[in-house]
Amino acid sequence: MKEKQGNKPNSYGKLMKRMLIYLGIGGVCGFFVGIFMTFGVKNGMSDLSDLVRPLALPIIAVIFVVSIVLMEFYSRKLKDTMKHLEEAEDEQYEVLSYEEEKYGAMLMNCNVISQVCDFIVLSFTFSRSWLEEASGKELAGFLAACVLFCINFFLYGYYQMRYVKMVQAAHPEKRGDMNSKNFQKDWMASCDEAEKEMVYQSAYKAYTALGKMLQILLCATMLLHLVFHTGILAVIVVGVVYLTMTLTYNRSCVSLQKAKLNL
Amino acid sequence: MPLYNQLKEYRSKLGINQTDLGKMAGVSRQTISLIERGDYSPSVTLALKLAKICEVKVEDIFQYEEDES
Repeated sequence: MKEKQGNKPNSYGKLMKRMLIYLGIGGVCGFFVGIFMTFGVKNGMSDLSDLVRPLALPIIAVIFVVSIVLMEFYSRKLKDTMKHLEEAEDEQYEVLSYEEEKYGAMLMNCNVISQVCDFIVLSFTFSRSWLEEASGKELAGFLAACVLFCINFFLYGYYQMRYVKMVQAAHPEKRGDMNSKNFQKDWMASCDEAEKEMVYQSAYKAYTALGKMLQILLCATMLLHLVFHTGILAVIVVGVVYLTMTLTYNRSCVSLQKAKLNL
Repeated sequence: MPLYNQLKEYRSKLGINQTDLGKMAGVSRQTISLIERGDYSPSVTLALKLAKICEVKVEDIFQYEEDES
C-alpha cells in the first residue's frame, strides 16, 4: 500500500518534468522561428510556393519515374519470392515468408509515399488566385502537372491491384475483390488466427504512433498558421483525424465489451 | 510465452508437410510454421484441432513451463 502511494507523486513529477522539457524545446524553436521571420521569408508560405511553382511539373515527373522504378523492382522481387514459396522446405519457407512480407511492405510504402508527395507538390504550388492571374504558358504547365498527377494515380491503383492478385495467386485462401467496398472485410475474414494476431499488433502500433504524431501535428499546424498563415483548415483536419481515431478506437472497445454482455 | 511444443515431431510421424497440416487444421502453412518455431501460441480451438489430427492429447504436443526466474 505504501509502495502504491509512493508511485503516484513520482509519475506526476515525471509528467511535469516532461512538460517542462517540451516547453523548453518549444521556446528554443520559437526563438529560431523569430530569427527566421526577422531575417528570412516575410510572407511565409506564399513566397515559398512562388519559389517552387516553376519546378512543380519536373518534381511530379521525377516522383512518377522514381516510384515506377521502385514499385516495379519490388513487384519483381515479390514475384520471384512467391514463385518458390510452394515448393520450399520448412527453413527456407520461413525466410521466404519474411521476404514476401518485406517486399510487399516496401511496394506499398513506395506507393503511398509517392501518392502523398504528389498531393503535397500539387497543392503546395498551385492555388485559385494564382490560376486567375496565370499566363497561357503557365496554365499549360499546370494542366500538364495535373495530367501527370492523374496518370500517377492510375498507376498506383494498378500496382496495388497487382500486389493483391500476386498474394491471392500464392495464397488461394485469401479472398476479396479490390473493386468491392467489402474488400477489407472479406480479406480479414480469410485470414487465420496468426495472421489476424499480426494485423492486430501492427494496427495497435500504428494507432499509438499516430496518436503521438497527431498531438505534435495539432500543435505544429496551429503554430504554423499563427506564424506563416498556412490556414486554419490544416488545424481542423488534424483535429478531426485525431478525434476520429480516438473515438473509433474507444467505440470499438465499448462495443466489444457490450457484445460479451449480449446487450 | 513459455509454451513449448513438439508439433514438428508429430507432423513428421504422420508423414505430412506443413501445407497439408495447415489445410487439415484450416490455417495457413505460415501459421503452422510459426507454431512449430514457438513464435505463436495457438488458440485452444486450434490446439485441440491439431491434437485431433495427430491423434494425441493436447498436452502431448504443447507443454507449459514457468520460467524459474
